[in-house]
Amino acid sequence: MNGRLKEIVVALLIVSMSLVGLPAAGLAAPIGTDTVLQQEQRGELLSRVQEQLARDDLRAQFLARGVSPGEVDARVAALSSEELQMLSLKLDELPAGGDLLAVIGVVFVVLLILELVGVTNIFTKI
Amino acid sequence: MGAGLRAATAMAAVLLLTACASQPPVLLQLTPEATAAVELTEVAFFPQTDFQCGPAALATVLHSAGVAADPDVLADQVYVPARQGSLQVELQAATRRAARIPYIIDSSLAALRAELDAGRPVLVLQNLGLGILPAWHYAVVIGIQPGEDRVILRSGTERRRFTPARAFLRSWRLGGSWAMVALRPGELPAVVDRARYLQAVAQAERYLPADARRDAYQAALTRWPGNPVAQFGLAYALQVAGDQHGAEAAYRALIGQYPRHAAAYNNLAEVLSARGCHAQARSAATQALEIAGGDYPGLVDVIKRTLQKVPLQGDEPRCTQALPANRH
Repeated sequence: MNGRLKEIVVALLIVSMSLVGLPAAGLAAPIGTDTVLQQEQRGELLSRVQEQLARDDLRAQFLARGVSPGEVDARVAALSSEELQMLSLKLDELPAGGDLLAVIGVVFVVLLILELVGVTNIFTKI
Repeated sequence: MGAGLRAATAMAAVLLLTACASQPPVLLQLTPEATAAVELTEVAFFPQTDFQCGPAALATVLHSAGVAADPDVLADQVYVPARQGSLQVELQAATRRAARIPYIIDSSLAALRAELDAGRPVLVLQNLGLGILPAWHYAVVIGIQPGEDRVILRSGTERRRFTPARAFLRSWRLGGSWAMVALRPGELPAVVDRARYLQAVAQAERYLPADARRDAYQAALTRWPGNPVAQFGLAYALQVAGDQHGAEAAYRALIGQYPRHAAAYNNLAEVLSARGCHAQARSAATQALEIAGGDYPGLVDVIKRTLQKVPLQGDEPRCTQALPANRH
């Protein structure tokens, strides 16, 4: 290998190696106000790995519960890191406001009785 | 149903009926000073379809905050089919995506009333069932009538649902007394908790246009002069808007007051580097790293990346020019 070729190879290697480093550097962004608040409140952030795991987990849970694949990423991305953790742990336990007619069977009967005696206030015109 | 159970139910019913019959009005008891009725008649009505009380209620408060809201679009953002409903935090998240600030108001009738007086409808979570047999529902409070002792809701398929105050307060309490308003950037809630407001803005800031971010933090600074979180948020807003000089001055002012503000040093480094002052940027990032190593270990990785990103060059000549004066 002559000197000229060596120079070219070295130059190419330098360029390609610095490009390898670029994606990581590209992730650098100014620190947001949300992060500053979390630092002050809890003194620790979820590591990027932990946060990514919570994100993937919630994403899978959403998809399994019928959220459309085209929407799921934007929905997960709109959550703060605390909300992300909370949902990934308690998606099925948290209140989900919906249609009252979803209340069926024995629940319906009990509620109807309570409604008739004036304790609850679900059914408007019964 | 056995005869015994039937008898027990009947007895319970009688007891409950007599218990309810003699109860005095509650609104004037809880908020004696608020005697006048209020109703926000202009608030739009989006009748709910299927299980969509969440999207419908959200569209109502967003529309009232100047967003061209569509319940069908919002359903894609908040509805969870297998749960046949929508979750509270997703209503907050969708509010951010609409460039509004979701603020959870105090769990009191007075705070709810104050929002109505300020012209903002209030999205509430109700449990219309029982503690052990919940029936979750979202509605929007648009009015209160102390004289009639009732509240007015946009709820389900009813444009004006009148609910007796006692029943409403019960359902609201069983839902955790959770209530949300959608703030336009620059508005403060009628009854405001500083930390909660700043957190709401901080979590929404990614979705706010630069001028909206600035307005939201400026409103906080007007209310709480010198507040470091609001100062940081404002500096960041200026940085995002491309006002490098303004951002630099704001970060320097913050560092002047809080010399161990690692995040401000980090972002100052980005601002300096963006305008070609690489040596100063490296020095700011190094300072940030040193502070974070001791005080904020969670920031170390981010700051290291900032430092890596600053080109290994000196300052451009114009960096020796006098920097904008610190705002002390």
